[in-house]
Amino acid sequence: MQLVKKHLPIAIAFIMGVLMFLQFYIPSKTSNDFLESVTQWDRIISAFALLLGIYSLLNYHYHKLRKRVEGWGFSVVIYVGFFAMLLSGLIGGIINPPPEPVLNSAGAIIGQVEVYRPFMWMYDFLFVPMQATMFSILAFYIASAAYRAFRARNKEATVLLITAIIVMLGRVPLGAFLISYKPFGGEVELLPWFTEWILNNPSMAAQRGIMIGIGLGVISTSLRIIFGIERTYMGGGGD
Amino acid sequence: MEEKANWMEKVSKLDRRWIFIMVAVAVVIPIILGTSFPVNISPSVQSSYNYINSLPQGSTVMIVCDYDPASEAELYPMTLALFRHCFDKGLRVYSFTLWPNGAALIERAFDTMKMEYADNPLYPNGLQSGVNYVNFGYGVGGALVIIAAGQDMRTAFSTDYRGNATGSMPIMEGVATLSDIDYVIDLAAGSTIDWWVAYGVQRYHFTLGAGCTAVSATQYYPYLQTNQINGLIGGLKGAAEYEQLAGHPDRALAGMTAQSSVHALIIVLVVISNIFYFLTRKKGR
Repeated sequence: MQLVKKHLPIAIAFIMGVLMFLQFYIPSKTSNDFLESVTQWDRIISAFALLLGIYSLLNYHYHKLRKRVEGWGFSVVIYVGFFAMLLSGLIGGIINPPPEPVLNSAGAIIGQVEVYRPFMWMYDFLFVPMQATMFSILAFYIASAAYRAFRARNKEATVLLITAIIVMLGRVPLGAFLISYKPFGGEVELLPWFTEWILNNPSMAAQRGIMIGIGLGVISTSLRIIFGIERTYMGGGGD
Repeated sequence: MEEKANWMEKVSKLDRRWIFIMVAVAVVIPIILGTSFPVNISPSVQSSYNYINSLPQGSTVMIVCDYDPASEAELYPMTLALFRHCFDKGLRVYSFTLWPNGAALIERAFDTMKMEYADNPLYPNGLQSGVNYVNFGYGVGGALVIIAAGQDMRTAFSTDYRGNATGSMPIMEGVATLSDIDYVIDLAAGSTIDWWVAYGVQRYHFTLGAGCTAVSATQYYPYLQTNQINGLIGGLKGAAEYEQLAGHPDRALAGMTAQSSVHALIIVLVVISNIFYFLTRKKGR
């Protein structure tokens, strides 16, 4: 069991990691063919990961339902929603037919009407509005959270607060409308210019630092996986 | 004196439902009144617009819609503005998504374009799928789809959204890999712009632009400075700027006043809360 559960995955990770690393630096046809083949395999495996995700979701909510844990009603909604979309897609298809023309009494086309498959009807009139609503609610919570938590408690928080106010005003037309001062004797308005300056200089410097940190982290984690030091990707299950 | 302290305490701990009502009013009133402000064009949006505007008729533009209905409010108007600009210029438009729930939004956007351009002299037969545009639908595999398209577009997207084979489509003439696309622009609600830079531009050397939600725009300024992306359209404001540049005012420009008033409201709320914070803190001392 050690061979299958431990040694084989480490060997595959090492061989594929080294090959993919070398492939990037070898511009030949063989190298490109190898990349194409690996990419196709990866995409097929990714599709199976979707199935695994579906199994995991349904399994998790099955246990919530069986044990009647608090909020089990939402698990019913998950099951109903999942199977309603799945079955309507499998039975009726997921693409609407072409719109049907609307004719007047003389037989001339005066418009067209969309013919909905059940799947697309649920997508357009249930799924889209519900997701959009979830995202819209953020505006309300952000306003409430800003009122409660955005306080100038110390020097750092004060700098953050002032910067946020400048960027918030500078990123909407109202800011330029209220403060329409144009320095440097030109066309450039102060507030949008200053907002862009903040984004292009201090903000970008911080972002670049974060990106370099993430990059170094990715390199070190990849090396740890390739050399078998990092094994959490193999999951638990014991040796 | 105690009454005054209680009052200040109450204001600084204002019930969130009052704030929700204020936000709702700040959104609804400007929409009802229909007021509008001129939009300042930022250099990063101007840059994307100029690049597409400089492409000759028949050039190829790939607009990747990596978002789902949750980000529709910001990114769908951006998609429509870009589509309109491309079709005004007679460019060939390719689109797909790395998000499973995004493919139907692309189809809806193309359907809207078909109706809008039904009587356009540039398209005597109207906009046709496979000729003037193609929706490849959802690409399974995340960053791997970018690599696959960089290797061979026909293999990466063997069929379009409606299941038609793409190999023989007129729009695919002269397009073998991503390197043959004149301009790729990724409209992203997540981190796919990073993938496009790392696995697309660096490997296959094409010109990339980006569009994203306002909250994530700051992440991509480093790519802009290094020319790994040549333009960045940030949030609804970016979409409004693009609409104004392309001469097609639509829902992004219409939403600018509501967004302005909510930003102003949040700033006023933050200032008020800080005034009361300092007053109550002073009292505490």
